[in-house]
Amino acid sequence: MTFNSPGKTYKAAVDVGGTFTDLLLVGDNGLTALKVPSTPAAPEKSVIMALAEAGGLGVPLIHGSTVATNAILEKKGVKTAFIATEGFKDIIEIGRQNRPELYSLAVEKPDPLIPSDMRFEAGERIGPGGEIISRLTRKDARLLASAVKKHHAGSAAVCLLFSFELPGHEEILLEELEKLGIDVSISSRVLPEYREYERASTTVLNAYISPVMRSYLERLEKGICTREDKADLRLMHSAGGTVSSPTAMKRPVDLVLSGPAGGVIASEWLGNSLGIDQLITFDMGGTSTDISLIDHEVTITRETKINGLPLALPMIDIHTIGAGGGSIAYVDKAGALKVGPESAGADPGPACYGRGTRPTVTDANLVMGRLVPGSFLGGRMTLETKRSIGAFKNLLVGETVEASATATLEIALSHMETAIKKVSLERGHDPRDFTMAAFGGAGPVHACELAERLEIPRVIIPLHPGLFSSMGMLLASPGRDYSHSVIRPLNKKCVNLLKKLFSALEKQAAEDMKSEGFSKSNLKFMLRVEARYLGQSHGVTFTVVELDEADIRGRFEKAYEAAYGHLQPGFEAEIVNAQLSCRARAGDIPVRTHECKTRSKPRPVEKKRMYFGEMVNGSVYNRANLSPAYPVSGPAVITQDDTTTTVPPGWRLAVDIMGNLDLEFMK
Amino acid sequence: MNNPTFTLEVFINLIKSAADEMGTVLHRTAFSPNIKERKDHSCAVFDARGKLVAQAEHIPVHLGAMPETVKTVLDNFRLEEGDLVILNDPFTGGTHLPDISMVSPVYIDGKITAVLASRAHHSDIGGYAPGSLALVSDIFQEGLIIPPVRLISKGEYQYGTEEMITANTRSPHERKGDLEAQVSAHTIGEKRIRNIAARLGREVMLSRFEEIMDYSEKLTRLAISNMPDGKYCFTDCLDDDGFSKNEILINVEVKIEGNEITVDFTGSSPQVEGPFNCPRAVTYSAVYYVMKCVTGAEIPANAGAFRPVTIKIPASSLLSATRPHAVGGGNVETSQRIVDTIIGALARALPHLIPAASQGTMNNLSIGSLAGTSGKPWSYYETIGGGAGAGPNREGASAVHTHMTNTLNTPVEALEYAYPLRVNRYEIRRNSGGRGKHRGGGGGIREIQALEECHATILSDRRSRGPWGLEGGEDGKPGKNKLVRNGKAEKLPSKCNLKLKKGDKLKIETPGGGGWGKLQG
Repeated sequence: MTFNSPGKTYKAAVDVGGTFTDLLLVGDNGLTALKVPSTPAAPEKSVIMALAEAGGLGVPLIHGSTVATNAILEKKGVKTAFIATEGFKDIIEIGRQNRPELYSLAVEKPDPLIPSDMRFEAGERIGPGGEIISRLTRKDARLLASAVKKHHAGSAAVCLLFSFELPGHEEILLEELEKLGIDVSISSRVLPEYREYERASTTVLNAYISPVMRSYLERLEKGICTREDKADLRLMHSAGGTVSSPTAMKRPVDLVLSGPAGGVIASEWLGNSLGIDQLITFDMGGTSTDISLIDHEVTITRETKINGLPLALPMIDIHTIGAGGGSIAYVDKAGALKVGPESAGADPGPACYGRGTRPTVTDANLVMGRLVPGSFLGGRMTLETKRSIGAFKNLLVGETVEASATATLEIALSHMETAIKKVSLERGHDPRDFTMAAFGGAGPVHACELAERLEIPRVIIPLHPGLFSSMGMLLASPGRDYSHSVIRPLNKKCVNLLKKLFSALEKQAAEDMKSEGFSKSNLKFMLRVEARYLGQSHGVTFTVVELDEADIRGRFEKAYEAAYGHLQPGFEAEIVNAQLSCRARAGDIPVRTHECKTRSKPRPVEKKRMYFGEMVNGSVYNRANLSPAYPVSGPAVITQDDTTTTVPPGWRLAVDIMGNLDLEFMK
Repeated sequence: MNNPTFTLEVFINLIKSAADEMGTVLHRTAFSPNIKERKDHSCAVFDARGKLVAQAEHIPVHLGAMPETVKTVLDNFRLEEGDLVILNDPFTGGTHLPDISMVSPVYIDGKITAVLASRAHHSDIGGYAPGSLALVSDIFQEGLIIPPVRLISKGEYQYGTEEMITANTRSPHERKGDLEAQVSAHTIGEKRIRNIAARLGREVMLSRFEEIMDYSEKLTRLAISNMPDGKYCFTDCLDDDGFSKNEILINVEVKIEGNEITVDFTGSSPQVEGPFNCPRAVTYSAVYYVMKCVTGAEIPANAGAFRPVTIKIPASSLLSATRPHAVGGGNVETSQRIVDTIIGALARALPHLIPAASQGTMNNLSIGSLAGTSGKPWSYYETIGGGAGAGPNREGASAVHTHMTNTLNTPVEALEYAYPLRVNRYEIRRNSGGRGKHRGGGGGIREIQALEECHATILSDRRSRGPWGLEGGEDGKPGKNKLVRNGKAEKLPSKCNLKLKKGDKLKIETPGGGGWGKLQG
């Protein structure tokens, strides 16, 4: 991205990826962007560097960080102790007793992060009604804390059975451990919900990365403050909001999807600005593709896993697959063509980048005339079509280069098609009701064809598809989500309990937000309830407005029927969880009407052969030359600095007043 | 929309996701803990002749058993559009009675084009004890037998069928919910197959079915041809059948010849009195499971993958049960030993791949009551993980499900909300894995206390001999079952029915996995 001076700057967002760090600034001159290489060994460096170069030091900063994710994936957390109810210290190793690979003779379970000699037990037991079956004494808690200290734990995770019903025992342990200077995460605060393994796993993940996150954020804060301005740092979290740096230090496990969440929030904003309620977000990069679904609101899941370990906090439901522009095509033992998940990454990159030799999805696009060699990255890099052809030549014996390349595109599309079905059809949503928001470097290349297969009639491509995630960070609202298990049949007594729980959650949220500088009058609360039929295990979640038995039942039945297509008359409803989402008003960002450089009918830069199911004659346009007054019909290819958009036959492209490409299937 | 050329890979993704979706709907809307929490169910797509095309990967024990089910239904019914057949009869395509199967056709352009099948382990189907997995000696004590019968005919529920089934179980309300969840799975599956057919056309879809099978066959043959030719024999045994003290032998000869394998069980035990007899379908499942593990998990599971495999079973034997023998534990215990026997034989052919024996049991525990203090019947069923055998490259995992099952445990907190039971202990049984260069995985310990009077059944094995070690590795420790009453522990047999008094504790210690390689130093 070229960098224009932002003028006076008010706010900045920075998304640190594996290869590049994207900085977006809001200033007098509107939005400006800066892209610098990431510094994976010390991620704060690229952030500080970018801000310094842009004159953004001391400016309020929203940050999408992969530090939490990488600490877990690379197992670079601290030595952590686990404390459980007596008889249950192994639950983090046993998990749900299943193996991840069904047909493998070499059974491998996910690494629980805490070895058995760092697991401790507290002599206590609480029952399902919150009753104390065996009381934890202060003396025992103290002894346990000193044993943990002796084992040189840098952090401790405490998860006692039914602690969400009665948190007293966990709190005693918290006090005693903190007295000895140990970082503590207790399950009744991290995730007060039933199912001990998932709660314990989430708590362990939090404890394991807490000290890592704290030291990273401290280094970053030090680097971005100036003599005049203290650091004002907020972090994008996985549920699509932002939290202050001190909150992020306490709850780093909230930050696992910090980056990809930005793209979904930006899509939600895009949908709102265009009046589109139902969106499928399609964020395709070099190595992976992130897909999510917005049905009037962002979809939230509580069933995420990282390195095989459950993370049961509410997170945007982002389905990630290992298919991107750099995915490698190869032939398996029986002669079938496969694509990915192995990726050529940034190094060596696709064959056409000049170093790699194995064919990738990007090479297939180039061979088939869907990329323009001279206009990649604004012309700063020329793609070598010859190398791509060479890479495909040796792939399938007896097949032409074209046949191999088209099959590669076909397979990559099918992976993405399956992924979109997973988040839509498998969850009861018909893709035909949705519009696709496509972004990321490779998203717009495949968006329309993918949409066509799923019968998605419309595709929107935002102004800067490559910077869309950072944009989401600027747009995200401050605040986070709270929850508490209920597990009671829906009746008057249960509704009273719900009222009590919601008011406690609200109070806690208001206090948290006050400490981050937001007054209660600026806060918006959203109440949700998870319910099921008594006897089921899986609930459906729905928004509640008034806490009234009949209203809750009505909303439950509506949500259940929407999910599964039928009701279970004669079965009693059971409330599983109370969920409260708290958000402060999001900041504004200056979005100007897109200034069109031209009012005249756009002229193609060139005409060439390109592949859309078959080879056809199509036009190549520069995005900057497109005008809202003149729609373009496929077959066509639209080039711009950070991506290429393909327009297959049957599709018509219009530019809207905000500069988005609005593509519609016309047949 | 233009009709894109479908590559095989695309088609495999599509057809498999139809089966996966059926499973998702089934477990999310079910009521039985076995289905909703433990995912003890399977869904599959067949062609019109009953050849397996794709199966969702839920649990291996159903892998080979579904084709038998579909074959039975196709042989006995002229399936019309909108029909749905239900069955659980182990001697006509079923496995054991709690596994209820459904089969329905998909009609495209007025012609039968595909067949869908689902199977789910329901938590009660009547019989001697809650959970319908009791230690009994004939099929009639095990529960209600449902021969293949139409539950739905041309889209109309056949009044009486569902009612007859639910009337014969201890939890009719729950059963009704589960049956309906299973029907919903078929509805979704049919919709998906129709979508695929609409895009491809019926004829193209049918030829793709053939191509998928040929593709799997080709991959399987390739894998087998890389194995050393030869005859490999092995014998293993179950502790006993719960009635006599005699060991029950399973004998196998695996013959690898070129790109084909023959698995011959000649010499295995005749049928036994206890419920450990296996319908042929269950024996097939165990063989197919091992084949899939050794030929490559990535080969799509379908009829083609099994073409190079010949299975020989002596008639009316432990591994080919006949009416009226009891079969409840064939599925959940004997199947594990069949696997141990085959991999024992293959250890000599594939020493770089085959691990020592894993726990070799599922440690089935059923507890329930007809009318508890709440006044309502309840029934809890669970299987408990144990030690995995160590392999040439790794230690065995601990307290994990191996081979023929992969069901989840019931969370302690979910269990205690739902039943008058308390879990006192759930941990890894340290030092129970066989020693060796690589140590076998530790077994598990689960101690459950009854908070009111109830009935319990344990079906377990490897209580006298531990799972075998390999290449000089030691055997894992055998499991133990104990009853703790008034502070005193009493040893229980591997298989038993018993009454629990309020306050009684059942302590199940599962076997450790076998070790691999000689212990060094």
